[in-house]
Amino acid sequence: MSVPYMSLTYMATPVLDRELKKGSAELMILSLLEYRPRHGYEIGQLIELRSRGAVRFNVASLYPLLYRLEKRNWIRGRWIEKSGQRRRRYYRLTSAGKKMLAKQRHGWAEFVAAVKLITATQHA
Amino acid sequence: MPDFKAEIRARLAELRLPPVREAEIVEEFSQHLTDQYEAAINRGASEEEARQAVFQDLNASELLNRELKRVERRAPANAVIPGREGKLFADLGQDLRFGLRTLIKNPGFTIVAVIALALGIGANSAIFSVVNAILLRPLPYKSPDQLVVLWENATHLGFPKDTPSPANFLDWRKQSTVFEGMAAFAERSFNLTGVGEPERLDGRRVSANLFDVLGVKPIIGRTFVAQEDQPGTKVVLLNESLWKRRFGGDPAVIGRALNLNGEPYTVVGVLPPTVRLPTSGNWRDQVWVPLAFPSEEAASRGAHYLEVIARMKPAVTLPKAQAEMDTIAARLAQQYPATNTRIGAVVKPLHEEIVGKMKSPLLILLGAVAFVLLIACANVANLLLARAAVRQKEIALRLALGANRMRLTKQLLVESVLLSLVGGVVGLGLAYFGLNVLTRFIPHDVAQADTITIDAKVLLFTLAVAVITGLIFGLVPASQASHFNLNETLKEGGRDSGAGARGKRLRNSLVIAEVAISFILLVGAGLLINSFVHLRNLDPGFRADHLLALNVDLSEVKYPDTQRRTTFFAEVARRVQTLPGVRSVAVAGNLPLTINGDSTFIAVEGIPDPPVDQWPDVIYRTVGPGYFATMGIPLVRGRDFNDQDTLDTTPVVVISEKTAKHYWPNEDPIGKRLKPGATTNTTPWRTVIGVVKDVRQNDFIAEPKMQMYFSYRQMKDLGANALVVRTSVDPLSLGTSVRNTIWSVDKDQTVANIDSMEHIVASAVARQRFSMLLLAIFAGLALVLAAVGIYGVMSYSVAQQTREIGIRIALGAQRRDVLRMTVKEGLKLVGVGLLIGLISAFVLTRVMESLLFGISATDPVTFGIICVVLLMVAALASYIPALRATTVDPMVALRAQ
Repeated sequence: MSVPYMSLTYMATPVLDRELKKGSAELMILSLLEYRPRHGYEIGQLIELRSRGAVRFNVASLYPLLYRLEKRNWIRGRWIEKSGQRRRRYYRLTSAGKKMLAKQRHGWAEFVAAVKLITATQHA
Repeated sequence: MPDFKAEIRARLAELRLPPVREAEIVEEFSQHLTDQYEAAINRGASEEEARQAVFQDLNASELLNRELKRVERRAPANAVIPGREGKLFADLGQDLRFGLRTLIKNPGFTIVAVIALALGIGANSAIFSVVNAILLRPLPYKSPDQLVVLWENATHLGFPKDTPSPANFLDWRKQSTVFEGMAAFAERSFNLTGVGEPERLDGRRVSANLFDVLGVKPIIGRTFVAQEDQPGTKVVLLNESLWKRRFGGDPAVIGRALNLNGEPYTVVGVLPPTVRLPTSGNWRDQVWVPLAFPSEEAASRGAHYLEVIARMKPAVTLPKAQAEMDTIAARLAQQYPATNTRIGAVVKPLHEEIVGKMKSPLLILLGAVAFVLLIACANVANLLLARAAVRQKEIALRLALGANRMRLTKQLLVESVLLSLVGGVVGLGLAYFGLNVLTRFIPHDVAQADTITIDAKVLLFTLAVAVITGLIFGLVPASQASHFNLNETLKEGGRDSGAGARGKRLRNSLVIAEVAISFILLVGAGLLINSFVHLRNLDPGFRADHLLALNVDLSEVKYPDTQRRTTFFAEVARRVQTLPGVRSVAVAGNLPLTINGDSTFIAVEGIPDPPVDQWPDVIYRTVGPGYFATMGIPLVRGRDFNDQDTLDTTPVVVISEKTAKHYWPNEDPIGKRLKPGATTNTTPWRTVIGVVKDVRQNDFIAEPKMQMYFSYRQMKDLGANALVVRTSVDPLSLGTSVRNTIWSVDKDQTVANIDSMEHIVASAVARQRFSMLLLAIFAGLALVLAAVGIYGVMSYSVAQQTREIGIRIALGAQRRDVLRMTVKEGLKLVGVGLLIGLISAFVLTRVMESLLFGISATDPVTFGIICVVLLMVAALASYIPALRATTVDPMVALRAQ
């Protein structure tokens, strides 16, 4: 099964299930939009940058995801023109998106903790 | 920098996104790729390396599409402009929205088209409402198809449908096996007294089983029972409106005694307003009493005044019922040769009897409005054609961009149907108001006329008409649009190729059709108007102007004998005579054109009685002295009745010219003697004292029959019941004072049907007036629409030829020549239309023969006049645009294109 959302450099095989990947990708995007609106290229760049190149979105996976989030009314895109720049579509978090971000963040933390517990036990 | 947008668009194509959304995504993606590309260049990559890096991402387009497909809504199967493969209904919403926008963008075109359509569709809805109420709606009785009316057939006497006599009716009922029930009834008026103002009520004597035969249930109480069909029973049924009006709808009216004609009748029930028995005039039943034949009436075969309704058994057909009635009638003719020789029986469906007379005028009107609508269609089609020519570039562009012709045709059809739906809605409004006017002209005696409304059936009809109309007038331009040559249009570089041969031919054919149809309608209307003029010019035999008529039905209880009736009428006449504005007054029996009946055969002294079946019928009327002078019926010979003609003096009679000519063709009839019935009758001979002009008594249209008059003062049982007043002022203005004068003689006396004789004559031709008026209106409408159509086409044609005309003028053509050329072109079309119309009208007007009077269906004068009218209108409609053509400035015209 192909993984449409992103390529995880450290993972040679698609071991995470679809929901996990989808959830993590959504979480990353929502997090990036928490404090300010950003356009798609910026979002892609930041994810790559902050994951130190470990996570990278291509155009074919990033935008469909953005559109999906927008459709769920978690983020909203608007065309904004800034002087000296091309017209760009900026995405910002909606209030529904904020709630979802908090929820996903909590869930993710629990999940990571659980994974740690298990992996730690395995190595013990 | 590579053209990212084109690349992205190519990859998104198969997704078929809505165009606006697609544009957004393309822009957003291309920016992303541009950023990536620039970043790569900034990092020191070559252009080719940067391009490859960027496209690597994009090349996962399969992935991209799959993902986008999950998120994005696909565009409707076809966007408006490019037009790809379309499905029949999938794009309807979009087509409708687009059509609506197109119509709103062209308000001038839309308004003209909607008005034309509204007039056509509205006329159809209005006439259909009438047809629906009168012809289509079943009668409000149980299984109305099984109900029939039975008549005696006395065709040899001029009565193909004669009212049966009581003895014949009773024998029919006894001997027939095909009917579930048979009932008879006869009109009878009643004076209601003792509760408020005295009032004359229309009513009937009916067989006790009549309401069972009809299947009518009373609102309260019961109908009659068989035992009540006996002489001496005094029970009465009321109709709902009388019950509500006089008794406030109080159920306690059941069991109450009413004073009718001076006798107490007990109310047993109230019937719904739907009970409408066939009637010849304005008779509106308000009360019903049992028929209850006394024994001598039950034995009478000579007096024909009953009407008979029967219900056929479920399996019985009309021919079967007719066959049995023929057998019974033949048997009766053998049994009673003196009265029944050659008297047959006729069985007719009740529905046909009630609405029959309106059937052909209504169907002809329905045909007429269909023609009006066709003309409206032709007009709108022409408008659409002209507009299609203007839109040709748009259409060519759409085709060039790959729009499919089928889809385009559909789009154009949706537009035209939308247009006609709007026309239909406006038309319904017109029909609603039109019906208010129309119902006023419907003859009063037309059954169910008061049920004319715009109901669900009419709405459905209008919807169907609107949709079909839209398809009809839309098909022509749509088919043209989908056939025209794309190459040619684009090559001509915007020069309107709609004026090409095909377009022009279509437009011309439409004008020809319009002219032909208008001609048919106009000829139809012309024939009816002509007939009506003939009718109105008929001499009724009396002077109808300044003549007031009213009914004064005396109570048989209060005025039981001739003496008392004479005293009453003499006093009334004396007092009315003194009223200002009154010239003369006379007592009368049944006035001309108010009833259809009262005729008998007569014996003439010195002439042997003819065989029974060859005995001519003579109409008789009872009148008072001064009647002929007051009515304006010229006395040809002898004298009028006078006060000395009483029961104690020699019985006398005044006859009409026709009677005189028939019996005494070469002699002076004065002093000759005759009597009603056979020579052997015991009634005394009556001496002819005068001869008067023939009067149209029963039927305004048919030739007058033989007539004779008796003095009411010499009649024991046939009292007078009407008054005629010759006035020097508007007769109706005297109505109230005449009525009050009658009440000053007897405060309980009813006075009814106060009317002018002019109105009575007009009512006699109400049916003809109705057909004529409506057909004339529709024909007028057709003429206007056709004129507009011709004008439109000629204007368009002139506009198309501006360049040509300009060149001609520049080359020295006279303006007169241009004018002649243009008008000639218009008239050529009209000429062809007229020719087709002439031939069609020649065939079609034959269906109107039954409606015509004194004129043939192919009357050359009418045809000729209509030809001239139409030619003149057409010439005018072409002249105006032609005049415009002559004002063309050659320089402007040459620069124009």
